[in-house]
Amino acid sequence: MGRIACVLHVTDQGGRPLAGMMLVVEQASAPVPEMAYVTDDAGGARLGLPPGPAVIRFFRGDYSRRVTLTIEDAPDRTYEVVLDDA
Amino acid sequence: MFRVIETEGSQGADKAASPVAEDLVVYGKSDQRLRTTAVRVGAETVIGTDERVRVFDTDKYPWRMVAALNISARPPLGVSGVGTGWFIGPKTLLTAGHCVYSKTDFDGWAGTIEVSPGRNGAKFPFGTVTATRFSALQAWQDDVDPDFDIGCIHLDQPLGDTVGYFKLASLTDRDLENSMINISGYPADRGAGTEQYFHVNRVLRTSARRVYYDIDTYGGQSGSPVWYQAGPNDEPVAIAVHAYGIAGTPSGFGITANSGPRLLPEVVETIREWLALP
Repeated sequence: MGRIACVLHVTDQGGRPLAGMMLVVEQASAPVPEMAYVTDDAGGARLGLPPGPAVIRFFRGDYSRRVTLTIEDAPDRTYEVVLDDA
Repeated sequence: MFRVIETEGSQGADKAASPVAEDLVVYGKSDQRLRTTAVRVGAETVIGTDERVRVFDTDKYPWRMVAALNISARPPLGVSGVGTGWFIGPKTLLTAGHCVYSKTDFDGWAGTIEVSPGRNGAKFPFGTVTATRFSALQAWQDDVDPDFDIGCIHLDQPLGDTVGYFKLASLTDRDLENSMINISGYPADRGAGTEQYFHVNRVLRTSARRVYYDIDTYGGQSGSPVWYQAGPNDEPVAIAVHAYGIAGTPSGFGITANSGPRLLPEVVETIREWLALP
């Protein structure tokens, strides 16, 4: 199964967008290139992921969290990611 | 018959090499791997204990030939990413195809890539130049085939004459067997893509189009050079482009390994055409 375009919307627990958050796909159901991504001013990031579970690690400074998403076979779907203590 | 195709390398303007490179870089061939176990722990591509070493004298040869990349999509997409590239000519860097072209990430070609050779945290020993012209193997563009995940960045400035550039060679399976290889790049988990990290080990195996190794890497190191060096006085020879973690290795191989597409003869021929572009 190939990768499909996914949009992540990354916010803190108060719903505020988290800009400049770096993210890397650590595990997925199919090979994913070893690139890192950075969220924009609206907390958004766009990347290709294969359908199925995906473990994504988020970084900013000393902050680091891993989040598991279930990617559906639906291109350009937006996934809401809420990071605690970010 | 397999043809060995090469390009020329250069040490750049300052011939003085990094004094630590001689201790870090591995040379030649070995019957032994540098570590005997490879157990998957946590992150996808750091295999077992994280053995990456930070490079501090990134203004020296060979480290300065490796560049941190800040990649931005074309508007209106606000996508940005981090990768690694390396000089193969005065105005040309090689990298992974997905760093310059991705339908899923950039809706096609990247918009701009900021290239910072030898970046060391907040230090930019050779400045930063912005590129807007890129190339990628046609099979990567058409089929998103990881075996063809190779691209290049064209600069307007001959920065490679200053920092130097890698020689490329399409080595045979026999050449690669038991070869000790080196990878240096800019991972996201340490220094957020601003610090250069290095690791080494032996080639675990090859396939028709890929080379597999248990060298620690991480996201952001896509596009890093995979190079072989016969001895301390021999020049580094790039033989592949690092691009994939453990998940990119077929389970049937029975190994825990990261990988990159090989610089096969026809690929080096295409890269020669890229080098000839203005």
